[in-house]
Amino acid sequence: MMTRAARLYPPHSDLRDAQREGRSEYVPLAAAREPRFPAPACCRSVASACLGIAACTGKISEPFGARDGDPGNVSGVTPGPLSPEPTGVLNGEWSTAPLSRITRVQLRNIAADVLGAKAEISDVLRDVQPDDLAADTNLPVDSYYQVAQRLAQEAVATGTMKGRCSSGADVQLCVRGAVTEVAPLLWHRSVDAAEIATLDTQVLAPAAALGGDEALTVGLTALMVSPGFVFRMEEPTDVAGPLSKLSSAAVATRLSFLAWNAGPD
Amino acid sequence: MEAGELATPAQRRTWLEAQLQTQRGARALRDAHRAWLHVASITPLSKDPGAAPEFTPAVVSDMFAQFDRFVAESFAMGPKG
Repeated sequence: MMTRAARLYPPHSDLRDAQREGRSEYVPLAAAREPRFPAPACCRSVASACLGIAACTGKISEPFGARDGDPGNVSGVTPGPLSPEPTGVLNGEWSTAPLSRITRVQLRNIAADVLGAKAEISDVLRDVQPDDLAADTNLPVDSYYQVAQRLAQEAVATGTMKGRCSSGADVQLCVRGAVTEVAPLLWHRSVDAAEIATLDTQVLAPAAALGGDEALTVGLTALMVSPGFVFRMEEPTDVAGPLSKLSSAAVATRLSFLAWNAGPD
Repeated sequence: MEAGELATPAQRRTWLEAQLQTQRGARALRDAHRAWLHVASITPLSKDPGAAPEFTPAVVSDMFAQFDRFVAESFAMGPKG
């Protein structure tokens, strides 16, 4: 069985072929989208998967070298183990950076732009430490879950989602509409109907009994502990082979992160 | 986003420059310069009120606002401004 890492990163032979042919950049393919949605009870395990990958590549850190001694993440891009040397980020042909994790500032910017949530999160957002996986600790997962929950609560209480589903007979329908609206903005890419349907079944339906505001909070939290939010998963135009050109939307997303330090609107 | 809309470097440049002219672009430029010049590290700066009575929190706040406006103005005027 192909391992997750093997699906996320092109094999060495593909890398050598691409370099020989002068194509020096890769784009991760559709397999990088898995897993897609967490159920409420599963949010932490999905966040754990995110942070597990994160722990392999660096810290959830400030961009622009804000902290002394921070070795990476200057632009939020954490090169993977098979990443070739980039020769130009936007050359219109091929993509580099196997999987980029959003930085703290990007997280704050996106939450503010999309949800109107500006809560301080530095007190709970904890860096993933190198020993965390070996120590079998839930601290990074709990930390990230708290961040998502705090931002979702603020969005529903005072942000762009205020009063959105507070009243009305069909809580699930209302929450699904709100989540469908913000999911592409929080995930920095298009979201298809099947993904929304999975979220609806696994998260929104069970949460509907909690009432409008609480259910919406759960839905937004689920979106923000998803790998789709934590990572910038770029959409290829061709998923058949190991290499693909970026889609126009993916290029636009790159430009938005460059100019805005946040996702596209 | 239509296919091909960002296909050429000129198209991407135009797109990027338009983004930088927005409020979010100004925010990103401000944040980048604050981090680059380690402005956050001097935020808690304080002086002995007896030796520098004019250095009040209001003055500190104004200095930071001045910094942000300088960055914004510099980019608004461009290299020949």
